[in-house]
Amino acid sequence: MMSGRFFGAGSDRRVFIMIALLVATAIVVPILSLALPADSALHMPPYMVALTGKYLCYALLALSLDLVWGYCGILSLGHGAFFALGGYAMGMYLMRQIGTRGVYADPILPDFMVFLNWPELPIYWYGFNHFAYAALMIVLAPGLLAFVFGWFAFRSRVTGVYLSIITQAMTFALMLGFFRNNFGFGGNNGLTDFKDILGFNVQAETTRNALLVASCLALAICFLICRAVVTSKFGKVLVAIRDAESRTRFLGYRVEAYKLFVFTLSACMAGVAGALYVPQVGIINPSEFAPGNSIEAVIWVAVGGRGTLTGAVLGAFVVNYAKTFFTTGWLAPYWLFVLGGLFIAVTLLLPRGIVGTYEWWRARRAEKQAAIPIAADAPHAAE
Amino acid sequence: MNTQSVFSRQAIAVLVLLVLIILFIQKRPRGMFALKGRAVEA
Repeated sequence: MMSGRFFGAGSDRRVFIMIALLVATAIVVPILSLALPADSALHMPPYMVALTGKYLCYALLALSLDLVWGYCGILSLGHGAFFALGGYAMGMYLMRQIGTRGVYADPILPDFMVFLNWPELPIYWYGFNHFAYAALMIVLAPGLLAFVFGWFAFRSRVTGVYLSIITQAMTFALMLGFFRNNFGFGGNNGLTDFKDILGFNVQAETTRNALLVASCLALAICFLICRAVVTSKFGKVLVAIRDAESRTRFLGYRVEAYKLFVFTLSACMAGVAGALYVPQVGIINPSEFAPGNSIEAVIWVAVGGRGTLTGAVLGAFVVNYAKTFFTTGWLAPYWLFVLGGLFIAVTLLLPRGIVGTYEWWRARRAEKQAAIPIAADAPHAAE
Repeated sequence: MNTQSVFSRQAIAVLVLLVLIILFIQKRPRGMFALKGRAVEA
């Protein structure tokens, strides 16, 4: 019954649709933007390619958040921190690629360090001129922070709203740190003015399309990883922890180990999302650590349906499309009201989110059909 | 330069405070005056 609700019959088809849509996006968008002439009605302008890529990164962040919140009950209000850390790791690589093309033309030091009269590169910037090292750091930095933070928090049995508070404090503290010039990450200007990624111009349309395809790929892979996790026996324990933590502990499961694993995995995914986000938007600055960003990610998941992986992705797209729609033109002043109203409306009217409600509706219909006395057909009806 | 240092000192103070809050919650996961008993974790 429980498994029917969470890993329900409809979910296999949804997984297929999700992957098919991602593959279709990865094929169709480059065709529309590169192969068609610019004056064609179907031509996709570069800004739309970048926008779609940005949505894909947000969807990956939502997915990672849903893994911990929807399936393990860990409401992290600091997931933006992992996203931003991954973004900074990518930003540092991109800064080192600028080389002598910067304003001060220093072959090694990024512009902001020259401006601050730093004599040499700080040790923690070493190695970021190599993409492989940066790629490692994109996963490692958020993963390590989540591991250490989670290690202490889960061992001390910090749960519920208290965990939300300290994750929020974590991202806020990181924001204050990254705002400082002597932290060595560009202060409040952050990292920008990127030129190349892997030798390709980041501004070029082909590169933008390649980044979009990479985002599709990352989202698809992470989606399948999340799905493998939540449909396994491990995932059932996660759901048990979410629904009755003490009971699961008394049954003999090491609750903190399960939580720590899933929290770290989720942080790594958020880091990848941030890393793909930065070259597509062209800047990373400390405001990415702002608590509001993390809360917004929670809203995406809530709207889409927490505890459903497709819901998290859908929610990120729906809310961010609404954001793009409402923040342009005369509607611009009202976006925050819409966002707040949306969160209230979803909590009151649609507590399961879009996909969650759909699942619930399907399950109820299947139950009704099963109640019709043709007992032999009931298992088929449930499929 | 002076305003910068005042700002950053304030920022550092907030940062230290946040870290202290995180550490305090580790020590007392349910706050200063935690409710005790079976009814707490429903």
